[in-house]
Amino acid sequence: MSEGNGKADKERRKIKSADAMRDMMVKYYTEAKGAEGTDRHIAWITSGAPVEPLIAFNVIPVYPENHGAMCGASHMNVELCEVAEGRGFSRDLCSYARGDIGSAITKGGPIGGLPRPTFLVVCNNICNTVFKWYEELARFFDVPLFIYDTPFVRGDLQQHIADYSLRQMEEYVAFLEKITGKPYDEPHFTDVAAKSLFASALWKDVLACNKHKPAPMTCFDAFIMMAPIVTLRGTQEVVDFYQGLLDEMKQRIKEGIGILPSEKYRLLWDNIPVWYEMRNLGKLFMELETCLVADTYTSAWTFEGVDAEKPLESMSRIYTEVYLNINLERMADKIESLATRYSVDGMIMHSNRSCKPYSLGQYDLAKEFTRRTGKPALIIEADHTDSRWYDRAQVETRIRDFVENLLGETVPA
Amino acid sequence: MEQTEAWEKMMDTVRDPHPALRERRDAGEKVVGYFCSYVPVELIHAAGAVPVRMLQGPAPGDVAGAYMQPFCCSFARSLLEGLGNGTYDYLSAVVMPHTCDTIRNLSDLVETAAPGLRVMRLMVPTTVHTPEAVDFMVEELAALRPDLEGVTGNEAGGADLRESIRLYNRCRSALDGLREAGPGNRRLYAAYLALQLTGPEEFLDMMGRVEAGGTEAGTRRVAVIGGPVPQLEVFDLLEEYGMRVVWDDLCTASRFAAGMVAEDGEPLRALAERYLGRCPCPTKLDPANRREQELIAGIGESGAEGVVFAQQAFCEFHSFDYPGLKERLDAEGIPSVRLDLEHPFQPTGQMRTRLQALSEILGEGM
Repeated sequence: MSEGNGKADKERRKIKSADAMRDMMVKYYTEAKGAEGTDRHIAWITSGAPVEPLIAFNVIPVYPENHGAMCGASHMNVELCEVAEGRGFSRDLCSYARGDIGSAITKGGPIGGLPRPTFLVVCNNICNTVFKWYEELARFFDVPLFIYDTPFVRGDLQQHIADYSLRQMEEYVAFLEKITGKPYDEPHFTDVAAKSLFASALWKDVLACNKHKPAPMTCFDAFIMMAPIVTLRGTQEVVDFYQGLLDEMKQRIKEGIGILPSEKYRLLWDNIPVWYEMRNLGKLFMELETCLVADTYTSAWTFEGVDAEKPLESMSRIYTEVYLNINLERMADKIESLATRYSVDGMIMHSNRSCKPYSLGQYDLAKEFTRRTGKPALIIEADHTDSRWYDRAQVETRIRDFVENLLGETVPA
Repeated sequence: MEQTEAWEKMMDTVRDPHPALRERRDAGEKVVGYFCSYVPVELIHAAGAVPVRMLQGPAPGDVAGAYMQPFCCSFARSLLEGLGNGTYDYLSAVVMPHTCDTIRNLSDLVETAAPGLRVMRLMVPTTVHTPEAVDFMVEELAALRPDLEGVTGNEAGGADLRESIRLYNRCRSALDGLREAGPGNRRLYAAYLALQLTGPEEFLDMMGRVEAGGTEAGTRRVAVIGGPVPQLEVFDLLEEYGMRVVWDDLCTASRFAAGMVAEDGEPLRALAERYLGRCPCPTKLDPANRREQELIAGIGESGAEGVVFAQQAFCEFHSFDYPGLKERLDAEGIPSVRLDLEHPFQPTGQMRTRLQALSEILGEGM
């Protein structure tokens, strides 16, 4: 292929909606930072927490985890972590938390830190680390903290867990009424919840496009494209964005445009991305003609089952049963289901030093995955935003070996 | 019985509880393991089983390595090792509470690593200070009770549960009395651990045979704070540097024994209120900063002049609390050092250096 053709092919394979997403996120952060010091409330919130009530109360949600991913991807998180470590926080703590504490102190990072919160919302459905982290933030900023305690779900959701969760959803709304001075407006909340659900359904459809061969995007693209569904679900602009992205994906499928020039193998990814290494790993997988077609992370924001008649109750159930709040057996079921639906040849698991609930159990899940599907799994060691725990040469060698030798032997040519 | 012999018997129970528990299993008793101080031992006891805290596991080896990453704490890895390699072969069941993320995930791994062992879960809420959290805990205890009854075939309600509550309250009072008498680091902490490693009747029997006072050593008064510290060698090490522990916030010691269960009223609610009402462990929400306040008050009342943080390496929850507590101690002019514990316990050069430094600082004030 000539250089000109190569450029044209690259341009053809590029996901066009990426520009719209970037614009939306720039606008979002500009608005959020601009609101600092005004009457508008700004809430820092964990990625798994119910954001819909904030949207319904016209509060700007800000996500330290999303910011942490940005700091990681821009190779700025280590220096922020070091600030927190200098204050006595152990290097063994989550690097999102350390980086965020460092950024709160120094206003460091690619966008000059996050706008100061007027209150905080934490939900432990993704891990218990987050409530320690948010307790630190509450002390640092001296602002109110709302904690949504979601008991762990093993098997089917038990009624007393659903009841406990609902009581807290009601308290959350009461907390917002008090802090904003506005009454709860159920029709408005239902509208927000419906938009959230609709955007989530669109996002699910976007991800499902990767069942197609060749896949129209990799999960590394999905890691970037998920920013709006994490941060702004419940708004019309997010619905519009995912509708546009879905249309583009469908068009790519129609035209046979894959994200890679050549797709020989298809893999499933487990755990949070290695944010600082996305570019290098992306290049490596492209060279190995291997597409990461699905993952366990981005699908965490594909919600189902909002009941317009009982919006608070149904939302409280949804947020209690997210991927990281269910037992290993249910995780194994989900991984098996993804592997089957997306026709994968194997799985790569990121053993993430910063995320114990996601990582502890992977040794067992890897064996279970192979037992159930007959496909191989590889576990790589890293940390989602602290590159000091990452050995690039070792990881790349292991991935290369896994793809070239193991997949080469098991996948028919 | 000679005093030293009675104490030695207690030390043996603590050092290696497993042979005696195997004997009890062989004699037809049911032994139920539990993972943390938020599991109501009274309920296990009322069902007719011997409640035994999961401590004193082997060094993490092949079993732990097959299931857990090295960045998980060696305390949890040691317990999984023991469950997989037969160290705890006398157990009929284990009760695993939701405390930290590691123990939560461990409860799934135990089912694979120790097939056949009955695993019961107790979903202790992270929020402990609200009425709905207490209501939720009551529901969880009500769900746990029939599971325990299924192990022993005995009912764990009514009079039996009230009797178990009274018995454990007596044990807690006995520990309070022992602390007051000042028997020295090793004996005091052996007694705390003994209650968790044998039944309450055996514990009270042992307590009736030992003499409380007389062997207080060390002139430098310190408070020790952290998570589980089941190795008496840690306290010996402090004594080596002239330190006498006058106050602690350890989940295998004072936090385990703190506060009585109300003996009147509905027993499950009384249990929920006592267990959630204690000064919160770092894995629990603490919006009012109660842990820090109680630490400062405890230091003041006990006359502690310095603090030793004794926490498990890789424990996120204690590590999050550490900078804030240290800052507060610094502001109060109270010197402190931090020891990161691994299992099995080996005093490292770094630990000795830190303890030496603290000892010297405390010595200067004398």
